[in-house]
Amino acid sequence: MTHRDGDGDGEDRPQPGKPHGLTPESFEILLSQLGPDRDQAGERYETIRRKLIRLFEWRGCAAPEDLADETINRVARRIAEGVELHSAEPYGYFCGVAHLLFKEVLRRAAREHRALDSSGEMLFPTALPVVADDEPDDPRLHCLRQCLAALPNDQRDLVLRYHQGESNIRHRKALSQELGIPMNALRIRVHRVRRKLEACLDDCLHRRGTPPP
Amino acid sequence: MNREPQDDALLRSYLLGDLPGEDADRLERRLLADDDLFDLAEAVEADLLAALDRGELAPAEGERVLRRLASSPQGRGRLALARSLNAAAGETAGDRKVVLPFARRAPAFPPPAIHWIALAASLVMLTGLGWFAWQHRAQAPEATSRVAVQTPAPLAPPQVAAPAPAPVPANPPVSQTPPDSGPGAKRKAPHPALAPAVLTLSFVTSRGAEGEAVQQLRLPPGTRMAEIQIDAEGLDEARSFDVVVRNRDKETIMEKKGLALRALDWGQALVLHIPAERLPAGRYEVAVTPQGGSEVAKEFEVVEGRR
Repeated sequence: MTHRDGDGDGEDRPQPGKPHGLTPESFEILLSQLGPDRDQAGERYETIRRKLIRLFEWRGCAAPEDLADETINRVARRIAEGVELHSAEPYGYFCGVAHLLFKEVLRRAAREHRALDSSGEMLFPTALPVVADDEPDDPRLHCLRQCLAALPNDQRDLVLRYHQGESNIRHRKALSQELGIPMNALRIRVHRVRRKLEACLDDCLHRRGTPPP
Repeated sequence: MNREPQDDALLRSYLLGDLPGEDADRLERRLLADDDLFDLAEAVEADLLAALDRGELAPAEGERVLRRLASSPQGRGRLALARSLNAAAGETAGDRKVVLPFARRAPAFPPPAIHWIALAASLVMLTGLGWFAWQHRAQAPEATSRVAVQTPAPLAPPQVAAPAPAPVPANPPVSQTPPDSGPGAKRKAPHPALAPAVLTLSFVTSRGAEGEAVQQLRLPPGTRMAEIQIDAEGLDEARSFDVVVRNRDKETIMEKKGLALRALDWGQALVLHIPAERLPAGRYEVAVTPQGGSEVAKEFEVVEGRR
């Protein structure tokens, strides 16, 4: 993970030689702003970081982890300077800083591409990615079967049934009716199982020394 | 957790890049503050990737999903997971169709009625399958043990002879799963960049006898991957198989060692994936060697197909 320093002036550059832009003191101050209980604040911090990574990813940024860390660093610095987060809803501040950072990324990309697209569309690759098909003896499939087998029966059944079927929408509606939950609740429930599978799969592939796709 | 139905449409627009800047900013604030909404966003993303893999998206939408959600290493990992889950679910569906034919239905009847109907239907299905297995045993005594262990037996008797070329079916009927259509073929309107062209070969009749029609693998322009399914019927029983594909000059195009049988929706098969670029039009031979056994080979022809 590469942390960066920056003061929001749009001229930040990565400083790979400096491993942590966040000092232990400023990290403690940040945690104290996220909640009175240190463990809960730590969980909140992890959640915010994970979400920021995904937001930058959905915006098409090439190094979402770095940008999430940079957002957190800037927020921590502001707090150290005396800014107070609204402890009940600290997310707005993180989001505002993330948006500013994203605009910097766009400006930087525009300087490189000499064409500004305010939607961030230019950050996405113009060529379609080549996605390799699964091989039957693909370690990924092997690991997935292992991970599925390790799930509790009801969760395994749920995730497999959710992915079955030709006319998938009708099929999922039937499944949500059967379980007596709304469609979006079903989606969220399945996704949480899928997230477990994803973690298990990463772990399994890592143990087998398989590179990511 | 009871989300507004419009949320998923909003999230879909956001993920595909259709949401104007300010709306996207506002949604991101909500995403950061609301765990359930965030999970729903990831779920919508996973659904889009799964739909892409199943070929359910229009080509333009499929390309956007591929470009926006599957271009990063993490995105490719998620697409791979969606694909693997689709495949695993397909295999499971094949298994369960026989045992619990009503398991996928919405509860149109009160639960006890479902149980009794499912039990009755299962008994009817099992009786039918038992009869089928017995008939099959009488016709092909050497295949007895294999028929007995094949839980997802085809509803229609398998085609023992495979004289006709196996074209790549675009939209085969779902209820019929003859050996000429594989799991790749049953997917509807697959995304051109992802859907493999499927050829199903059988060694049952001739083991490459002369005069037998050579099966054709049609590769429409833009096809990236070919999938060769080799029917387990007709192969000697073994734990694993070595499979080699050679061109007319006997050069090896693809070699897989220790390949295990897979349960497809029509039966057991060896499945081999070959990048389409390695298969220019022409004659090829696929040779299968069971562990501890001897090689059998069969010719097939690659022809250019149309979209």
